[in-house]
Amino acid sequence: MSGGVRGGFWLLLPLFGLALCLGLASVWMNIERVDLAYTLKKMEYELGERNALADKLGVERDNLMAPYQLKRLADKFGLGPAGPGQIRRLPAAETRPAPEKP
Amino acid sequence: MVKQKKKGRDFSRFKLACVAGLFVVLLGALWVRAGYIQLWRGPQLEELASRQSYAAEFERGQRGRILSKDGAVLATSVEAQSVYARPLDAAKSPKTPRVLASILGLSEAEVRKDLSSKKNFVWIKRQVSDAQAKAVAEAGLPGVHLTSEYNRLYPNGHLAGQILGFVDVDGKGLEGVEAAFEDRLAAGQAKLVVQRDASGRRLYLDDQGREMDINGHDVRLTIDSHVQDLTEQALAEAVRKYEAQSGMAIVVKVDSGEILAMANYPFFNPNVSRTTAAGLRRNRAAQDVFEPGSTMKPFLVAAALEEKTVTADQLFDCENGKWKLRNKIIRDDHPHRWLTVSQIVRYSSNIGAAKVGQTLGSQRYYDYLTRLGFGSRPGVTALSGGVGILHPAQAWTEIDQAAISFGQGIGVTALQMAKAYLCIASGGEAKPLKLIAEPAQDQPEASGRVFSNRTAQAVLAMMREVVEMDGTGKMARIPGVPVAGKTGTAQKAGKGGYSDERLSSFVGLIPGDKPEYLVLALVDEPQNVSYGGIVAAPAVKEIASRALAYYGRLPEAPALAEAARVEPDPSQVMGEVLPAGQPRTAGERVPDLHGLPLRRAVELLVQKGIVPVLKGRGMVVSGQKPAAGDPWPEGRDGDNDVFVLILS
Repeated sequence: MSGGVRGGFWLLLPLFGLALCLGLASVWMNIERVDLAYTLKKMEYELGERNALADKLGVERDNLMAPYQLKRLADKFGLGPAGPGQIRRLPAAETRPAPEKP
Repeated sequence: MVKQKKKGRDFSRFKLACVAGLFVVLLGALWVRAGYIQLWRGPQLEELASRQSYAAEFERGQRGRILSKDGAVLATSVEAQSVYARPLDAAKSPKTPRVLASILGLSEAEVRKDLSSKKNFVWIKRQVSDAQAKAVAEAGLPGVHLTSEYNRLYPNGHLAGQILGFVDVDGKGLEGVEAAFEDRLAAGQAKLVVQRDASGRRLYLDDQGREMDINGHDVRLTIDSHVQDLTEQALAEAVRKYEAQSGMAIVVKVDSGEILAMANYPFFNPNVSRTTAAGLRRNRAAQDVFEPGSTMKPFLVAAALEEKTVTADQLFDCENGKWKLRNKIIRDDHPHRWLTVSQIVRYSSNIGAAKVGQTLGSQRYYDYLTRLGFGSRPGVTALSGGVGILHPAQAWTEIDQAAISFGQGIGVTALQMAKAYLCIASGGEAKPLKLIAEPAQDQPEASGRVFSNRTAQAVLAMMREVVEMDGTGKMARIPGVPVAGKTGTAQKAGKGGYSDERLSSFVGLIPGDKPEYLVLALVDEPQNVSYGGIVAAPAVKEIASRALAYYGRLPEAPALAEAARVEPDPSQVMGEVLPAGQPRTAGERVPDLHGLPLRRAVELLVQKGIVPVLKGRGMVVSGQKPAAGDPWPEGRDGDNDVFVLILS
């Protein structure tokens, strides 16, 4: 084997090794990407579910706070809207000075 | 030996060459094949691979919400599951129709019919409850699947139902705000590319398509949910109490023209729109045309005052409640003889109004009516308001003019009426009504002055007398808060003329001296009692007092409340002590009797032996003839009108 061929072999060997490593890295990254894609899809689904649930709970809250529901509750507890002469406006409380530190 | 050597020739080089050649051919064939696949069939194969690995997914956004002024959610969309089937697959299991029917509350025959379809896809039931969706999923029926859709919900039930309108099963707005703002509310759709694995499961690929805003935009109304609710409650109570057919009520904030409430009874719940009669969905307050009756009189008087054809104190002979004009007889429910223009409004005299209308003339009255918005759409965004019926002035006969003067022979909507009263409440300036707070409306309706502020204040004072004095609207009084108002009791047109049915109405401006809120209530065909002052005025009082309580505007104590009354009730003036400066004796010349209680004025005149002629109704002297300072009249006979006291 001549010296030139031997030199070319030693030049190709690291390149071959590098190509092998890059190939392995590519496969590993692809596996990771697919894994991440599964996770993201699952999280998207969960987010959607929770948003939908939050929306439904919001509707329930809005329904419970609806004026007709409040009126029903007010009637149940003997409450009603204030009539003429039933409103008292209290003077604004004077600002108390902060207690001095001992 | 040499021969043997010749026979044993070495073919190894040839063999090597053959093997090498074979390898070259094989390698060449591989390269050719690879080149054919990569270069020639590459794009086609790549497309096939993509179809296998990637899939397009469509994502629909959420329809925008409808909010009230105070932030309450009036309409929103939530995700719901819908059940569909692929009949070919579903047919494999005979128990499927029975199970589906029991879970979804459908008839088994109905489900069986759906599943016997030759289509590839059939809906079984759309937008089912969460519990039903869970049961269907757990049943694991072959060929039966669930898919997500958005369901439109109205958390407040029937609150403002006719304003909101409703959507179809695909979420498209069909009526009301839902239809008017379809473009803004409607959700968009995004196309996403996802990766598929070998079993068909979808994987997240990238964010392509996810950056789009596919959700619909919100719409905010000027409606206040609490004011709307209390308006609906008060209206429902009035309609039920008088066993009426229906009712409408509108509350408007005067300074901004915002509609705070618009109620229609019977109510309409958009959550069950598909099972509701079409008639209930109609926004009567915006669309129904009716003859308003006496609630038109303030506009007539305002126009006449503006044109100076009458003055507030001018007397009209109201013919003791029966007046023949051409061949028609005009009647007043409460007969009067001499009434001032203020009293015509206060006691709601049809004859007086017809005579005021004669002084004004048809063309001028028509012009004012059109400037107030009658005969044209009110121009409120999202409300397809009716035009009403207003014939050209040239087509009016003398009878028409008289009838239109007291609100018959003209067709208006409640919305038009509210807009016209808003003009008086705003000091004579026409303002547009608003229902949509957000998005801001691009082209606000042109407004302009219809009456001078002086005229508007004069009419407002007359309307205060309707409520605060002995007028027809006494039942709308709110202790401590001056109320201006006008009653209306209109005959309804029937076959061949007017029927016995009535439309009772009341329009209140609160506070009456400087209106901040306009409240209008109409009750259609009340039974037993039909007067607007009895049927509709208490509803307006209820709405106004509860709205004022809600806004913290009611007076603190009853004593203060009564002290705040702007106009004394003449029935309470009689026993009062004469104010300083008022005449106590007859004197040498005619004294100034203006402002005196009737009893005291008569006592003074009797001292001189004069029995006065009384014109107008009321218990307080608002005018006299001869004037103060004139010498006492010679004749002493009251029949000759030697001394006339004008009362109010």
